[in-house]
Amino acid sequence: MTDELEPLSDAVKLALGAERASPHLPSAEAQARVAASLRALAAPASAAATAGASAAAVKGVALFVAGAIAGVGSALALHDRFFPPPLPREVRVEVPVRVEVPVPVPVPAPPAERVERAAPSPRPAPRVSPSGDAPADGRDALLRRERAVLDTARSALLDRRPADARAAIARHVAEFPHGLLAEERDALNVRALLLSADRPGAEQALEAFARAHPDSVLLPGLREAMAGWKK
Amino acid sequence: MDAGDASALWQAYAAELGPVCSLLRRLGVRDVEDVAHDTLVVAWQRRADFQAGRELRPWLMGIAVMLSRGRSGRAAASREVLEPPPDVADPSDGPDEAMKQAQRRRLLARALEGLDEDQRTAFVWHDLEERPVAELAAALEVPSNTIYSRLRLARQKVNAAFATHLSQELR
Repeated sequence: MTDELEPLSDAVKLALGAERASPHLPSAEAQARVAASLRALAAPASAAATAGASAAAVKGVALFVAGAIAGVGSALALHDRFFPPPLPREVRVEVPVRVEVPVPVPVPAPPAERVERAAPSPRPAPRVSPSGDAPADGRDALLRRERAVLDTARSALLDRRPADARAAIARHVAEFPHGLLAEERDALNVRALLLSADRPGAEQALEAFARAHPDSVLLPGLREAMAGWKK
Repeated sequence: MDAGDASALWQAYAAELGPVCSLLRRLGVRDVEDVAHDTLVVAWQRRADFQAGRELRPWLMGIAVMLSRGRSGRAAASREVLEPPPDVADPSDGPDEAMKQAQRRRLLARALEGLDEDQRTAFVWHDLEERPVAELAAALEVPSNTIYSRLRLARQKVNAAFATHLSQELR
């Protein structure tokens, strides 16, 4: 079959070479988001293995993942292929579902100053729903809302609008103080302060971040950003 | 899985973000980083299906292709390919060479816009990413001959697009 393929012209080969030499470099925000999501998924995995699989039996893992892939749009048609019911037991027991805030309390965004000085919220130990049967829509919506707020902050940072970024971060603090994406939020806060040229605030936020998330993969990047800003 | 194993494993997945993003951009996906994120999350959830001893990247790329279906946008695709990332430019390249490279990528972007989704996927997978046809056939659950058919049509169109451009330049 390969023999039937038309050979590519030299011009096409050169163009392919040019494209291969230009890989897509993911943004720091994308790296942070991926790291936060995978880390959150992996942490319960090891915890579940330690505690014993039966203790962590949780319903609705597929729904949790569906929340994580919210926005896939038409690709959701593939959902059944990727998540054929029932999921393998190994997967079903590994990812506890957070149901601590099915209905987030609407709190007005605090002043930016309060957020700047606020200590990062250490991620609480993943909790398993006592019953495991919290409304799936609530979990989905919660993750989606968290992600939407941080996307707003991220977009504002990319557009160099630190005040807007900090406002979104403040909203996340108010609505999801111990949210699944709290680590990512705290990292964005450091970057927002840096972009605001608030060096003392950024340093303080970074120190607090390092204390709260000493093993975070986001920490080296934040330190690098801080070092670069100081130059 | 202990905490150390889990940490090493998810970091191995996270390290594939760049290649997955590159593939998705070349496929013309609109929200490259969002789909890349979803790809890695789905892959993590499906890691029990990953066969030990195999390469992680092609498996992830297969998932990325599946999630990319129906998410390509011609305008977005050309915009993505048209903009050479400045931080990966070889500083040893002079401005002329950099312009040529950018022009080649623009041409390729236009040529890819002339392909339908199936053809583009086959072309990008085989001729751009240099992956075997069999891998894509397995990911899409179609016969290899189907991929070859798409690839054959894609190559004809891409060659023709470049030939047309060159002939216009000579006028």
